[in-house]
Amino acid sequence: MYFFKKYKDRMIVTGVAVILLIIIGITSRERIKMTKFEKIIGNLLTPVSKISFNVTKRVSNVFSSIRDIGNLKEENEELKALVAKLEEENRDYLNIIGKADYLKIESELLENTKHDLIPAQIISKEPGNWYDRFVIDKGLKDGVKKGATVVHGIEVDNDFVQEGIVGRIVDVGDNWAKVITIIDELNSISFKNIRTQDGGIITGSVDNTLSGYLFDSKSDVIIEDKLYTSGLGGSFVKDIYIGDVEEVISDEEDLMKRILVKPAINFKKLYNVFIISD
Amino acid sequence: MKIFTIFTIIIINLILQSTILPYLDIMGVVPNTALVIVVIIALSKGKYYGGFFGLFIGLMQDIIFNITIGINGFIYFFAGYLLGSIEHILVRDNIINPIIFTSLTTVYYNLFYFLFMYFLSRNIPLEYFIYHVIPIEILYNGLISVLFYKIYNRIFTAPSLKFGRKSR
Repeated sequence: MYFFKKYKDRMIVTGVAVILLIIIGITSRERIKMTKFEKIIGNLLTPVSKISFNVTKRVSNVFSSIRDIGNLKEENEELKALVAKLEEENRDYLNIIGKADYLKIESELLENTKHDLIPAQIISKEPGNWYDRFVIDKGLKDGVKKGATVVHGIEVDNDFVQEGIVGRIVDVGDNWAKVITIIDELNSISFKNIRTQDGGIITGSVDNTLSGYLFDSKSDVIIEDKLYTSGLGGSFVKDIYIGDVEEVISDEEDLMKRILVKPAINFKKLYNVFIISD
Repeated sequence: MKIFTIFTIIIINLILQSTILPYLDIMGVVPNTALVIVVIIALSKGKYYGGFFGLFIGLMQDIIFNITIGINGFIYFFAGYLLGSIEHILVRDNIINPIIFTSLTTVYYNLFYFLFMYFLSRNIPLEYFIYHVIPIEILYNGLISVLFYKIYNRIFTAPSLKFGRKSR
């Protein structure tokens, strides 16, 4: 008994540490279904964070303007002169601006698509600097399945709107789902070069770039080649736009061609996404 | 009652950190307010509170955002417990304490996160983090800790009756 009393603290600490390590070990592989506890917490927090995320979208503009408070005065003078002129033009343009780009893109995407799309809103992003993940407001009740591909509309040339890949769903609750983006380090995508039909694999990384390699080291790949998902492995839906090749590095030692890819989606300005449900 | 207040602070922080804070980045680096809160609770309430609330905050973050559960819980738990166990040595009400310990804990957090990621065989560019993320995060967290420390003291210092002239 004396022994227990003397080392009570240390034993508790060690116990907690061991339990946590076991949990990490169990959960480090992808799990098949979520625990009940997780579901309850997720269900409770989702509506709250949805509201606050919406408020934030408006507030964030205010904050970003606070940053450049230094040269506010000069700017003010210049801007006042401009305002009068612009106000007049503004009225003419208001009609056009009303049809905001992104609403247009979304509606065109819904017209052009070959898949069944479920629209969803992003309600919170993962805090911290390590990963790019977010939570959306659709879940099992809306027909979202684990492993489904998440896309968003993008304009490719000739004003044609099609799906651009965002990521995939890793966990689903009743009314929420966790999404990891393609720039996250956990995701690997098998792609094909649309010009030459050559295949390869790209992975995200912590510094928000996509990099990868081609299966065939002699294959012909140039900057601005367009990459699409190939559907190999089955984790992503086939023929979805990933992005353009930004840089080609040929590595003689490794006998493979490495490429850097610029993703088509701007992940910093993502508020709505679509989930492919078929 | 105090515990209830701390729980409320933690929940509010969790929501704000995942909604507002990503927009307040400096050069792409987001401050870790959860860490700051663990440090402040540990420094003012000791190892039991520090450990417990560290574990709680970490697990909440893990459950909501991560696929692997327990990493943040582990890191915050030890941060809270270890800082709490030196609480009685430190001079109270010294504004330097939260700054120094927040900076140290930031380094510790990122180091251990890297270790866990390494042993879970995820490949991560450590140099990028050492040169581009951690220095800015240390500064940012240090600044925020001062703010949080002031707010925390205002909430938890019992109002005392004052007569006559205001004196310090």
